[in-house]
Amino acid sequence: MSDLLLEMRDITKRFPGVLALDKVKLEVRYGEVHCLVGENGAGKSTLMKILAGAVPMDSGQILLEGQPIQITSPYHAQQLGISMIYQEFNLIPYLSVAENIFLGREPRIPKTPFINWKQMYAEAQEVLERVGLKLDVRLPVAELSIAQQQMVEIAKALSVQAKIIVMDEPSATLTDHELKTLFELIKVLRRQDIGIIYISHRLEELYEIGNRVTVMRDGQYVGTHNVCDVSREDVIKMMVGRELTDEYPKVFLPRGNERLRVEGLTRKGAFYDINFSVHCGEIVGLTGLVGAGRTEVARAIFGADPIDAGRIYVDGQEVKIGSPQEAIKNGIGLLTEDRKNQGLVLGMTIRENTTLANLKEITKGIFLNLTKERQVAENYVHDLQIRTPSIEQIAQNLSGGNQQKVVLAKWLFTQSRILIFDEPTRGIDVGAKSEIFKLMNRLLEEGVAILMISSELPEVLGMCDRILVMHEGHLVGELSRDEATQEKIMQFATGYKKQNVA
Amino acid sequence: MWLNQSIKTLFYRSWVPLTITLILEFVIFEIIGRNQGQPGFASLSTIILILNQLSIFGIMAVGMTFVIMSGGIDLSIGSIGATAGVISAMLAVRFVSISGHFVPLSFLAGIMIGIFIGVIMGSIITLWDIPPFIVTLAFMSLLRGLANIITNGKPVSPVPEEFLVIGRGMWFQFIPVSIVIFGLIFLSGLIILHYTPVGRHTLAVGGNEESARLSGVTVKRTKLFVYVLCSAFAALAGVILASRMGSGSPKVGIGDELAVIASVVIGGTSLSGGKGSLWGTWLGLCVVFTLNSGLNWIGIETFGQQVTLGIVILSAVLMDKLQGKLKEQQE
Repeated sequence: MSDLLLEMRDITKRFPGVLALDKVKLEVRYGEVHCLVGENGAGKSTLMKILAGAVPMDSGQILLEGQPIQITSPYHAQQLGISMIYQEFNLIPYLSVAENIFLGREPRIPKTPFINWKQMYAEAQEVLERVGLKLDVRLPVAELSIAQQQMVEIAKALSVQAKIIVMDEPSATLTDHELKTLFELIKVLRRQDIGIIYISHRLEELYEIGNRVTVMRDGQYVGTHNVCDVSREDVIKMMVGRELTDEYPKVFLPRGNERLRVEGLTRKGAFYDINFSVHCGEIVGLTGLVGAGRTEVARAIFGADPIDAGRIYVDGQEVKIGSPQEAIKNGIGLLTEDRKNQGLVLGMTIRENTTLANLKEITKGIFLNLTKERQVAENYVHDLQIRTPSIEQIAQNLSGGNQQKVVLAKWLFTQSRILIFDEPTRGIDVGAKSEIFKLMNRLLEEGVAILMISSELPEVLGMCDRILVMHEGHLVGELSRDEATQEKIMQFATGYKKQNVA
Repeated sequence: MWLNQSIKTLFYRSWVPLTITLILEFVIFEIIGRNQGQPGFASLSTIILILNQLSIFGIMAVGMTFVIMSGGIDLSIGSIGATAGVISAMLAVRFVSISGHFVPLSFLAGIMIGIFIGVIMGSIITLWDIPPFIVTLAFMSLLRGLANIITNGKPVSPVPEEFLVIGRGMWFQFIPVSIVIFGLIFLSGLIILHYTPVGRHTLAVGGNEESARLSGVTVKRTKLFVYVLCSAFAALAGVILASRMGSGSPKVGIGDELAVIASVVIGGTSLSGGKGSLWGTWLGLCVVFTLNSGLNWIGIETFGQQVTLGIVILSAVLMDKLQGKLKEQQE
């Protein structure tokens, strides 16, 4: 018997107009964590969809435990022992944990069509214990944290005797602590000889959990290496096909006038007594663990949620911001973390999304000036280098990086002087990340003040002039660029250390 | 180049299948009619007849398209129409009895009633965030009852001769006035949707309410607008209907909302909002009303028409689904 659990050979898939996969290969050993990396559009998801039976391949061969197999449907893939855990979980919120685990294959009372609840609960409990989750299996999934939901997904995979588990960006929504638990679980799975295909944009994770890494680029196989044999720089080079000279192209500008200041900002249950300021020409980082209240602070400044106390000053003048309209009027723009649900109207075109926040600018009398609107959109597409065949492209069809640029275009068109970036690079690939950073630099040069919320410490350290750290709704520390290190930030973020923040 | 683009945005993406359906309807009913010894379905006079019937529903459908695009629904339009119709007819009678003259103000009053109802419904929906389905369902019943109470359940008639002008009047002796009014309403709908901020806001709110809100779109005002627009148009349609029937009846318009929603949906406007077109609604109306007239032409009465309409709605939705699948496969 070969030591290969899964072998995908010469997988080719052509979509009209594009060769999505060109003779790609992937090998997974028993008990291995095999990382699959590549920029968005490199073909990772198409390859995984083929493996999961969601998309048929044009040519190629798939061997499972040395046997050639034909995967005909997602259901068939599951029966063969291939389980996918998508970024958006496939759980049904108001069904219980046990019902979710056994969805579609509920145990029956013999010779009747009725569900054997006792057996179902017992087996669910058993499989939950295998993933180390202590929970009442009767709880509806909606009451679970994201991390727990992920565990339930993994438990579901185990309960169908999965041999291969594909995890698509499992860390994107987890806190550091939860991620540790996930990694522990992955180690347990490895010992059971399960093969794990791990897709992530965070390259650090490769080194923490991965055994081997396969890099893809533009639908082609680039190479497979032992993780310990390649450096982070090598991997990035393979992914982008060129040397990425500067991951964080920080520019230093003299600190200008104070643009935004908040005093005593409080929203009960979310954050308390927040004080800070942001000046022209600087990027202030706001970091902390997930749930520390960073996004809530941003939403409050933007008028998306009401505040219970506190003042907001723009250019030294106190302003009342009770709604996003008022924030926009005061030159504030918010690039939300969740671009798809809060940043863009996905069904609308680039043109329509660009002008949505400032239709007034293109309105003459009561009518929209569509000619002017087209010009505006064309200008931003050109200026921000949004890669699209036309301004009439639906936002849904754009990559994450290009979607982010459309959101940015929207706020540039409102003449925002204060931009709040909430997780600006989430779901964006390495090449596009540095493009976004370069755009931030350009904005700084134009006198914009930037507040950047991020959980990615390397990017906070790489791009920010000052770093604010939140812990459980309180601002607990401020670090200058020079004194900041990952350790110091984490000491504040975990509540281990506190400092009086002016 | 940009002209090309605006034509694309103005026209409805899957107008081809609906147009083919429409042509097929004319061909089929003409053939069956001829076999029954009754040619002439595919003629200008039939078309005007169909348009005349369609115009009242069409006015309602323009407003409904806006509501559905915003992600909402309005079930009350039939009742609004009846209420506006009876009030308008009662005022017309009153004006004549007081002054001896007919005062066209009664038409305007009917529409004002519609606007008033729209403001109330829209406010309830936006201020307390109650699903429009429930609110408009309540008003469907409430207004129907009111219309019956103020008329004692009997039609308001006779009405002054002049009251009949917008329902039965002819323009240049052969184009019904109601068709002209529908044309104007449709045109204004197109202009509002494509060339004003509130039209754009409607699509944005229907497409993604939270993104729209965070882009500074006044979501509540936009929603209020679509319900006021829809109610006002429904009231106008009700007034025209009362004028055509020569009496303000509290019993008219029962079930109209279904035919209207069906036309809008057949036209490709998505019930989940954010997507759709008035041209689609126009074609949907044509398909539905040509079908009704055609079935009448070949002697199939109401019950058969109801069954057929159900089948048409299903086929339209299935066809849309199929098209989506084909497109997906191409991508």
